[in-house]
Amino acid sequence: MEQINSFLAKAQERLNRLVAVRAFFTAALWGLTGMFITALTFVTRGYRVVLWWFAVPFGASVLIWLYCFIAGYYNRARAARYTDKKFKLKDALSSQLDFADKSGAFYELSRKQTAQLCSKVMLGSIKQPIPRCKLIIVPILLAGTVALSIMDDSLAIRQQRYRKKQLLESTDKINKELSKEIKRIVSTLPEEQKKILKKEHLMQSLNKLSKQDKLKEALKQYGNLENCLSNLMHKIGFDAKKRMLRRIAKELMKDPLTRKFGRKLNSGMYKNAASQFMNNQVVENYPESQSAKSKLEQLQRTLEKMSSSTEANSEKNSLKDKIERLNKSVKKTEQQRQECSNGNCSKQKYIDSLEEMNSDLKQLTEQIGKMQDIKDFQKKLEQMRSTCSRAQMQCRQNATCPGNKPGERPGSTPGQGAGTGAAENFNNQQPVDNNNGYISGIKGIKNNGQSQIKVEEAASGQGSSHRQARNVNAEHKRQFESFIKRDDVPTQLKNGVKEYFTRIHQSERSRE
Amino acid sequence: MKNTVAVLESEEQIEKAVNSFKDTFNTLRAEIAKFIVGQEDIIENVLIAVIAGGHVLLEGVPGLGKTALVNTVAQALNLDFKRIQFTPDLLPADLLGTNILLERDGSKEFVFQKGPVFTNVLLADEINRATPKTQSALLETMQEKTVTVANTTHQLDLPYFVLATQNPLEMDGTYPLPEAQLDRFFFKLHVKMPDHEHFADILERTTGLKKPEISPVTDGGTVLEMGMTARQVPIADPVRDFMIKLVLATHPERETASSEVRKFVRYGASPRAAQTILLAARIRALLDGRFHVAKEDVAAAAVPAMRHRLILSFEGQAEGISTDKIIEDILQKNR
Repeated sequence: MEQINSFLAKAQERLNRLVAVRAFFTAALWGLTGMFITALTFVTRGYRVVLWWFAVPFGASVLIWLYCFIAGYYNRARAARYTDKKFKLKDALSSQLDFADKSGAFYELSRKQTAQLCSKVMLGSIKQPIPRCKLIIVPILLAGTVALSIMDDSLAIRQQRYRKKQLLESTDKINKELSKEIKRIVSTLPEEQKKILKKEHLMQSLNKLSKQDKLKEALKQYGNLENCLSNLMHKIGFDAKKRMLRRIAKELMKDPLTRKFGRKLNSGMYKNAASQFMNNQVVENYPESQSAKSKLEQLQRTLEKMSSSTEANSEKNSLKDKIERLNKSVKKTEQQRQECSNGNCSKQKYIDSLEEMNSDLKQLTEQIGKMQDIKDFQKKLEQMRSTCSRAQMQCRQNATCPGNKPGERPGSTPGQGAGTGAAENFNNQQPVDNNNGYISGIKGIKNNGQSQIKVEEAASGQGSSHRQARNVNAEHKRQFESFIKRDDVPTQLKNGVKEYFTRIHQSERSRE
Repeated sequence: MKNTVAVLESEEQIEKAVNSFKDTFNTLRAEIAKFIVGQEDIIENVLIAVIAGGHVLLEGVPGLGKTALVNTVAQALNLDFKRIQFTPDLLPADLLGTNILLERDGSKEFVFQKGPVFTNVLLADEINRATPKTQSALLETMQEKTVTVANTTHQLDLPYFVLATQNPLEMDGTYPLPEAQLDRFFFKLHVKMPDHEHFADILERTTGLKKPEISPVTDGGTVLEMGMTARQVPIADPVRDFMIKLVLATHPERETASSEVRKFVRYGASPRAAQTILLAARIRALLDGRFHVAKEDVAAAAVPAMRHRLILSFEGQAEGISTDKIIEDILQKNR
């Protein structure tokens, strides 16, 4: 029986070895097919093959190998059946497995006979040939997979990676510069204005800036910061107040007596205007004073003009409010003065009303004076916004014209790229307009307008444009949106631009 | 002759018995083949049935040598042989024997006169021509190997074999054997027309002056011993399960039955078929010189053992399906 067991064990081992080899080829076929497809997917998209992706088909092939091996595994009974059939032993081995624990002369004779048969059998003749197609396909797939795996990234991908890397570096640099500049500007602000910035979370927005490898994200973050600043500028409402003061100024400039004050208001010299206005304070507290009388007259005249050119404002403690209050108190004081002069009221009343008037005057003066602070604040915010815009431009420029890129043909030089735009160019002079606020057209001084982007003609180069039409359109859209949001652009102009673009889109749709 | 053979215990005894078995069988085969030409399978199966103690039904057209075969087998086995030609008017008493009134020593008494069944080898020629009553009279002898007449049971001498023949052509005036009686036959064998070469031999041997002499090879006792030796051959569980699966596959009500069985078979083979197959397979194993039964032994015995035990449905009969084909299909599916 030992001889039979030993023979059977050898047969089983050989069969299972053959099963393992066949399973290996089956698993290799499927695994290499998966790896080949994976590699092909990378290469057709231009990327170098990431080798760890092979782990999936490799793992699957291991599982397939295991499955095939387990499914084809020869246990003792199966090995006996196979050997019986292969060598025409007529169920000798299968029967011996059953007779193993049985005794008797017939069983013994059967065992001896089977052992004799086994001694004549050549186990080496057990062959399970691997299908030829697998033998051919597996090496081909292996060679193909290896060949695809050693291929480098395509030129386009390398260039893309280079651009991303460049963008990362440039956005990092830009962020640092932007942050430094804005912090410098903020450091020059008074505490009160710093608090406003803190309340508006400007520094938090600044700290959120991070280096980006995608142009869109990079521009978006700068755009967000710019929006934050724009919103803040809108909130402090300097422009509305300025317009109001300009209207007042225009009215005041019509009268020679109030012209000087009006000019100062018109030109934005608010502190000067405030101190001049403060000179209207009546210090003589006796009603007969000529100085008091003329000052009161002057004040009345000024206030009437101021009042007539202001619009109703629901805001509490607004300029209009203060003007009206002062106007009332001036009128009251004048009335008191006249009455006192005529002897119809007591001097004390006159003094009281005078004090009240002076107090109101002081308040209005302070309000006017504050405009200077607001103006300075607005200017600083404008500076920050300009810095943001410059950062965007620089980022865009770096992304589209990164310079020497990998794979460029020697001798081909790219264009010099888009213009960098002009530096800040604030127009301190307002055009004279007698339309009383209705602007029919903008007339500016050439090269002197408030411009943040000035496109210069670039020197011609041999480089090709790297910006697709949709990128250009997206950029225009952003510029257009930014333009619309600006407060210093007249509404009529904005409406004109809006209408223009609306008509364009309508005509495109009708063409479609 | 009674069965008094002891179980073989030692390896030497078994080897000797098996060698003797093979030699005797081959000698018998060769001896019979002297006279019967071209029917090697039939001869082999008849001898297997005889050794196994079973009865054989031979079916074939007239003139194929069925009677000659049985006669030759009986001569080779050196056994007493009787032939009965079954006719519609044959009575049971004609087969079994009857009591007759005899005068002996001045007194009259009924003495049983043994019928032709009291022999070792009985050839029942054209058994399907006898009436069912006569046919059933043979049943007891085939199964019990006894004869009961007038309440007295008479034992038949062993070995006792019935080798019956039937003619597939004549249907008029015949009484098909009932299933119960068919089931008692060990094998049903189809005797076929010999081919050209064998035909020539037959003519040579049967129409010449010289007729081949059949010498007795063995005797009844040896046949019984051979049967006992064969019964000791072991069968492994897988081979036995294969055999059982074959028999169960003939039953249409079983889940394992094929669509052909469900469609064309009314009743499947009984456990007696499995017994037949096993006995025959054991003998085949010994003939092959093996000490164990193989599946091929089972497969070889399946058709002759089951062909007469499957009852076809109306559809099967209408389609003309043969039970041989059904059994071969089952064998093919279960290999």
